[in-house]
Amino acid sequence: MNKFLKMHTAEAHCDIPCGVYENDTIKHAAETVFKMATKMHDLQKPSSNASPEEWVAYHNTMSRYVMVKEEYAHVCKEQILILWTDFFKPEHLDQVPDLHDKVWKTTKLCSTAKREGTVESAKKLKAAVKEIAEIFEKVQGSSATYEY
Amino acid sequence: MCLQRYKITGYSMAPSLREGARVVTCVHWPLQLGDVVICRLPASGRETVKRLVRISGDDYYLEGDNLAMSTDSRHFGPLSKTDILSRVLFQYFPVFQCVV
Repeated sequence: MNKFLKMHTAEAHCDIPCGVYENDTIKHAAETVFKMATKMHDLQKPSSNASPEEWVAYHNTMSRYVMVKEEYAHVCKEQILILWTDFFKPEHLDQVPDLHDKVWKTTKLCSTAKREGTVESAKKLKAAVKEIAEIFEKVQGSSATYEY
Repeated sequence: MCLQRYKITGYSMAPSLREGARVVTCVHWPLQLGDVVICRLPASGRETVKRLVRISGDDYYLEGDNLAMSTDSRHFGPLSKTDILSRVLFQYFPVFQCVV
């Protein structure tokens, strides 16, 4: 299909800056990545004399864990970038001077969690996301632009 | 070519089509109410995906399934038939499903 059908992009965006932002999505996404990484780590490999069905079940379960981990690491990265570009304003840098660096590092951790799939990388992501979420709450509390 | 592939970006068509979904569309497919279509927004020239919810003469009204996160005919009004480029037939990624 890739060879004879060129890929286009269709947007399904909301173009209106609604001013409604939240940090639940990034926390939920990071938690999901962590849970999936833990399950991947804990999943027992079939024994050497396991049946083909057992191997299929193992690979199927592992694939599903990986798929969900990838999906939510992507959601996490995307939602952090939305907060960064749409919610945070230049004046917020007065309160959080290293905001750009924190966002940059946290989004990189999303990629690391995808690439490595380890519990350790997922744990680092979760901690970094928690920090971004706390910054969001702190800034939101003092922001006149936030609307309910 | 009658068939085209599209990657979906954004959330206005959730849960039918989620961010990152890939679909195949057909240019010469007769349109019906409820069809998910690719259209070109006259103001920006951008291609977007929405659902056809009402036809009134040559006015085609489109809405996203996720109304809370969609910019559609409620905001930019109806489109003409020439702005509708193709109909979405099915999604093939992340899972195969017919789009109706």
